[in-house]
Amino acid sequence: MQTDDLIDALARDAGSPLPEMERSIARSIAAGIAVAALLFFVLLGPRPDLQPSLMMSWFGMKALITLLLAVASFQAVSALARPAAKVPLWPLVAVVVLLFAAIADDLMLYGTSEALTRLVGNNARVCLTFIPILSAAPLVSALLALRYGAPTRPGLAGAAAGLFCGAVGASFYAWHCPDDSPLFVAVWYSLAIALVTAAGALLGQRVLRW
Amino acid sequence: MKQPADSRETQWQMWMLAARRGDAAAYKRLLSDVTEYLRPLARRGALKVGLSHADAEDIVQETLLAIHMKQHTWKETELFGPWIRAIARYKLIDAIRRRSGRKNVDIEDFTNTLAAEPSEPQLPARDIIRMAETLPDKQRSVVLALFVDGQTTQEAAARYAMTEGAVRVTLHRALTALAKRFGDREGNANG
Repeated sequence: MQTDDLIDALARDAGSPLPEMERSIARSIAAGIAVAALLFFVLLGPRPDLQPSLMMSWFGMKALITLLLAVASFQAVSALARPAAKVPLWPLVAVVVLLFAAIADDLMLYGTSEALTRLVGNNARVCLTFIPILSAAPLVSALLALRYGAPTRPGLAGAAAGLFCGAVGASFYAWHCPDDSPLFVAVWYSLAIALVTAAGALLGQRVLRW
Repeated sequence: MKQPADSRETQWQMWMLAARRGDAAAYKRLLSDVTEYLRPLARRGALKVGLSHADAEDIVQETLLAIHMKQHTWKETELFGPWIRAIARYKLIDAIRRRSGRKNVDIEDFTNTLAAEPSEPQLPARDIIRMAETLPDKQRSVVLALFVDGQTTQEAAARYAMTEGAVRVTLHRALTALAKRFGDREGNANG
């Protein structure tokens, strides 16, 4: 086909309504999150000692930080879905700063003598297992959603999606997890989220090409 | 057609905005000018890995199609230039990689948006110069100014008291005539 003919054909399409990228992505991801919620309630359920007073304690910190990470990384996902868009890094930095503040707080309150015990915790294996499981459906839906966009760095976009979905999975898991120490969160939640991020990067390289 | 980078991108942005409001003529102008920008890049990248001008043209078309299909990813609050250059870079590299089987593809620095030369001839420059003698005066002058003297369309226009557009049209006619007369050889490895 002559290029000029192609241009004519494309020009006839001018002004047709544009697909709504952001809305499509949001809808797709919401579906994935709904599946994660379902899995959470079926497989784990919230911790039995859940009370309003707990929101004031370290549990509240866990729930808050994971949620903030999800929000911050979602912005990165949206940006990486489009060519040449700037990725906002400050929200992510803010979350890390918050985590370090919590760690510092923990060490000041409880001292360093038992820090390793708190860090290792009781349920590292459960954490490492279920955060990825809960992240799986969101990750699939996020990657599918990103195909509405035009990620010019597919691996990075996939990694951002993995980071976001890991944070989503962690947000759910925080409601079940009995280990409250920020030291535990900093090590095991981060590791679990890192695994999901890496999976996102690898999958992104393959499925986000266009 | 040399233009300062940002004025060309500004022009593109205006056409794109008009196109979004249904102005098909503006969209056509945008796509045509973007093609002029893409074609030399595609050809140079393609030739480096042993692909032909026909391959390069396919790659240009793929890139145009991608720009069209993904236009919804451009926000009107952002600059159009970086957006389209990012897509062009991504698609050109991807297309060349696929066709050549090479992993590392060397594409021009996309931060330079100046188109370096007028419409590519479909004949090696050597042949064009040789055959230019057979052309009518005006066409011969333009061809020699551009290919022998290495002038830009702007300089040639000033030299012969023509508009730049007239220079490009004259060049196009000259090359078309030459191509017809001497066969459609693809300008390949020696060009």
